Parts: sequence; structure tokens; C-alpha cells
Amino acid sequence: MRVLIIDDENLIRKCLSHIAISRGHTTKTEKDGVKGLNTWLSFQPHLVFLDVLLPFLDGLSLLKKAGRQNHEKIIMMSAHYYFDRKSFENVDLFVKKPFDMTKILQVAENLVLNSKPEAIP
Amino acid sequence: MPLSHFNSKFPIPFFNKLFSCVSVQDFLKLIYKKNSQLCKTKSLILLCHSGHFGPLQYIYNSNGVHKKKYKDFLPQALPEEIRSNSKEDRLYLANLLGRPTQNILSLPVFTNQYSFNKASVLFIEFISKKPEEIAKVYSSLLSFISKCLGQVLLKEHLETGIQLWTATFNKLKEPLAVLDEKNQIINANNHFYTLLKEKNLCLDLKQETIQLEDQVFEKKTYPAVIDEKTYTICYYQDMSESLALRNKMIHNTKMSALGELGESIAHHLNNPLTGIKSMAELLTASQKLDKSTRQDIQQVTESVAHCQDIISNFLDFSREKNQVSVCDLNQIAKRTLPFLKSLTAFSGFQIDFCSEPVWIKASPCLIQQVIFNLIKNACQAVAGLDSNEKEVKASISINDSHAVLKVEDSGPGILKENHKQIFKPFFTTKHKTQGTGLGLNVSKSIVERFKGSLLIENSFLGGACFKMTLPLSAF
Repeated sequence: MRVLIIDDENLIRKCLSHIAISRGHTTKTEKDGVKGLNTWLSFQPHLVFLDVLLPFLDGLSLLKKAGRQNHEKIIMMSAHYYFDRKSFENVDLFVKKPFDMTKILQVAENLVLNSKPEAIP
Repeated sequence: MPLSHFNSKFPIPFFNKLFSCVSVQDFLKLIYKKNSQLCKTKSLILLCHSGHFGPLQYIYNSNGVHKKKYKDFLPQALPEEIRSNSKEDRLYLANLLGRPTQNILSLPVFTNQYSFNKASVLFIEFISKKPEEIAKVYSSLLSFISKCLGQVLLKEHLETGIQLWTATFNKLKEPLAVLDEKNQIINANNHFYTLLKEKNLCLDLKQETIQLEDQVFEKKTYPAVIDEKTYTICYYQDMSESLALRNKMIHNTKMSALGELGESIAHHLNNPLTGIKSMAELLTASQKLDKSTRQDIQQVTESVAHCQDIISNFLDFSREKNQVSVCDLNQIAKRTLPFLKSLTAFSGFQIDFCSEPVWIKASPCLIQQVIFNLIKNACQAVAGLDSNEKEVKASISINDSHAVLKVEDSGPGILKENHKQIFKPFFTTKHKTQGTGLGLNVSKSIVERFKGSLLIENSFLGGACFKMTLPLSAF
């Protein structure tokens, strides 16, 4: 499964990526919105972890520009209380930081598998 | 008036006296006295009109004077010339006095020019002489008596007018003065003198505001032209309340801006903390680590959890979560203490929690603010002492049907005369950088909002003791 992680916080990128790799996925990480969008389009991920507040291009605008390329599942992350599930329409899951990364990854995997199991390598 | 009219019965000095009367009572008294020399006089009844009070009725007899308002003259009671024992008059007076009358002499006293174009009438009730004889005595004096009465009514009118205006002027809450063109005070009300002069204030009339101990006055002026002269009416408005309100508002705005800033910082901190926490957890899971490194990393995880606790505590505290709920005062205090650590750590702080839950019905967030203020104040009070003398004690207990929080210190205490002041907004004994003078004021209003009280007592530790009492609630 291809997992794209877009977050400006180095440790979060590192950890999520680490956990994802350890569970057998391929990952790419980006630290800003513009690079994130480019990678999204080229990498064609099955699963995207997307932070809301990002440099250059914020998570929501990025989501609008990228659209759904390939039925990928999108998980929005934020530490800010004024965002909640209702703030995001086109998103499969919203998690508030801090969160348990291993657990969330498990949930996300299930989301992908349940929607299109045959497409996952 | 021909001199021949003044006879031995009514000598000139009498008229001088009559003319200089200042009240209707005096006027009637003189007439009564004089008339008694002519015949046995029973009473005098005067119906007249006063500018301030409208139609008045005076009854004068040996018991003194009785004055009252009445609706209006009865038309048939108005004689056009002196008449005696008129049927109408006797009937009218019998109704008025509630008894049959003796001989009645009715004198139309035309005081029109003074008594606002309303005619007056004087009835003289007497016995023992023939009415015609008495009528004769008065006939030549009628116009003079009329003039005198008119004069008296005018004097009374002026007097009442002056009294009314003086009272109004003096009853005005604002200190007020009237100044002439040279800015000299020509008139000022009592408040002006008491508030501004008795406080030994050298009053500079150009000064726009006047600061007293606990009041602030702002000068307002407007011109008044009287008889082509320009006067300045200058009054001082008590701005203390509106100033206090304004400062409170500024303070609130500042605090809410600070709160927002703090919240934003707290959220931003959550981001890297999430990373640190996850990374530390990942590392702990790694097989390669030796035991002591693993323990160290474990400690990092714990510290991160602690940081997150502080942040979430802070967010609860700062967010406007003012919902009222039933909560345990012990718990609220426990959650407040981490914010005070920097102060309590060096203040000899001790807290005794209640052994059982203390349920109160209030907004935990607001009560947290009160506890924060009280403990902060106590710690600041002992700041100047040697470390072995520093003592701050807090205790939570249940007293009858009340939850009680006491915070006391070994500081210098609060002077008795300041006990009341201390809860007023902007009253502070601290240095500007340490306090706004709002903490206790806000705390008191919070506690009172939940039907409790905040009192100050002397502490056995030597300093002040603040006692917050809130009604207990059923869980």
C-alpha cells in the first residue's frame, strides 16, 4: 500500500512513516503543501495523512486541488481545537493530535482494504 | 389714601406692620388682633390664590391657623363689594366649617395684580356688634388691605420660589458652580463646597478632571446668558463608575487576547509533542536498546504526557467553558495547582484537601480562576519574607451545608480600613507589574454568582485569610 504523509512537523512524518514501513507499506513524506500536491499526483497513494496547517498551501486547498485521483483514503490531522469532523466534508477520517499512530494506521488500512481490496498489492 | 381714613382704631404703625408682613399667617394674625379690639372675633377665613400651590384656604381662630388646599372658589361665594350676613356666604361657610356661623362680614380683597388674576375673599366671623358698624370701619380701608395682602402673597411666592430653587440646586448630585465672566464663583451648590473645598483641594477651575481618593470628577461647562451677561455653568460629573467600567473592559479585552494567544501557542505545542511522544514510543519498542536508555526514553514519554496534561488543563481554563455543573472542589483545586507551581514552590505552600468529595454547583473553570487568584495573592504576599517565615496554607472543608476554601498566609496582612476597599475594582497594594487590582473584584463576583461569599479575615499565621464559601450541592 502506498502511503503519503504531508505534515510540517518532522517527528510526525518520521514516526508515521516508520510505523507504516514496519507494517509493510511504501511511504513518501512531504513537509509543505506545494510539494505535497506534486507528490500526491505522481505517487498515486492509497492512503494520505494530511495536516491542516501547512506552509505554502494549506491542507484543505491541497485537498481541493488534488481531488480524488484513485479512490485514495484521506486522513486529516490537526492539533487545533477549532477544527473538527464537521470542518471537512471530503475526508474519510479526522484525527486530533495527539493520537495513537499505530491504532490510526490500522483503522486507515481497514478503510482502504474495505473499499477496494483487489487494487492493493 | 386720604389720611382721614386712618383712625384711632387703625393707626399708621399698624399699617406699616401689615405692609411688612412676610407671610399670610402673620397678616391674618394682625387683622385678627385688630378686629378683636373692635368686636369679639371668632374666626377669619381667607380664600386666596398662590402661584406655587394654587387655591388656598386659611382658617384663623384663637387656636391658630389652619391652612389647606382646596379645589376652587364657589362662584356664589364671591362678593363684589363688602357685604354682611349674606345668605350665600353663610351657607358656604357653614359647609366649609361644618357648623353654623355667627355674623359674617365678607371683604372682597382684589389682589389681582399680585395673585395671578385670581380674586381673594376674606370672611370675618364675629359676635357682639352690628355687622353694619364693622363694615363701615373696613369700607375705607379695603383697598389698602387688598394691597397689603397682594404684597404678602407676592413675598410668599418669591420665598417659596427661592426655597424650591435652592433645594433643587443643592440636591443635585453633581458639584455645580456658576461663574461670572472673570471666572469668579458667584454661586455653588453644597456638593461643590463639601466635595471639592472641604477636601482642601485648591480648586483650579481650568482643571479638566479632579482626582479624589476614590472618585474622579470630570468638568463640564456650558454658557448661560442672563441679563446680557455671560455666565458659565460649570459642573463636575462623577466619572468613577464609568472609568472603572472602561478599565475593566480594556482589561477584559487584553485578557481575552492573551487567552487566545495562549491557546494558539498551546495548540502549536501539541504538534511537536505528538511527534516526540510517538518517536519516543517507537524507540522504546526497538529491540536494540539497553535497559537504561529504554528507561530514559520512557521518562521522555512521561514528560511529554505531562506537557500534554498541562496544555489541556490550560485550554480548559482559558476557553469560555462557563457551563455550570456539579463538581468536586477538591478536583478543581488539584487541577489549578500546576499553574501556580512557580509561585507555590517558594512560598511554603501547603494544601489540605477534604477527605470526601465536596460537591458544588458552579462553573469549574470560573472557580478555578478564583482559587488561582487567592493562592497567587497569598504567595505574592509572602514574597518579601525570609524563606523560613514564608507560609501559605490552603484548606478545603465542609461546614454545615457549605463548601469552604480558606487561603491564608503569613504575609503582612491587610489593614482593617482596607478590608472593604480590597474588593473594589482597581484597588491594589501591589506594584503595577504584579496586579491590576481586578483579581479579587472578579473573584468576588464569580463566587456571588454561584450564591456564595468571599470574605476576608485575619489569619493566625499573621497575614490575611480569604474564605470562600459556596453552598453544597447534592451530587
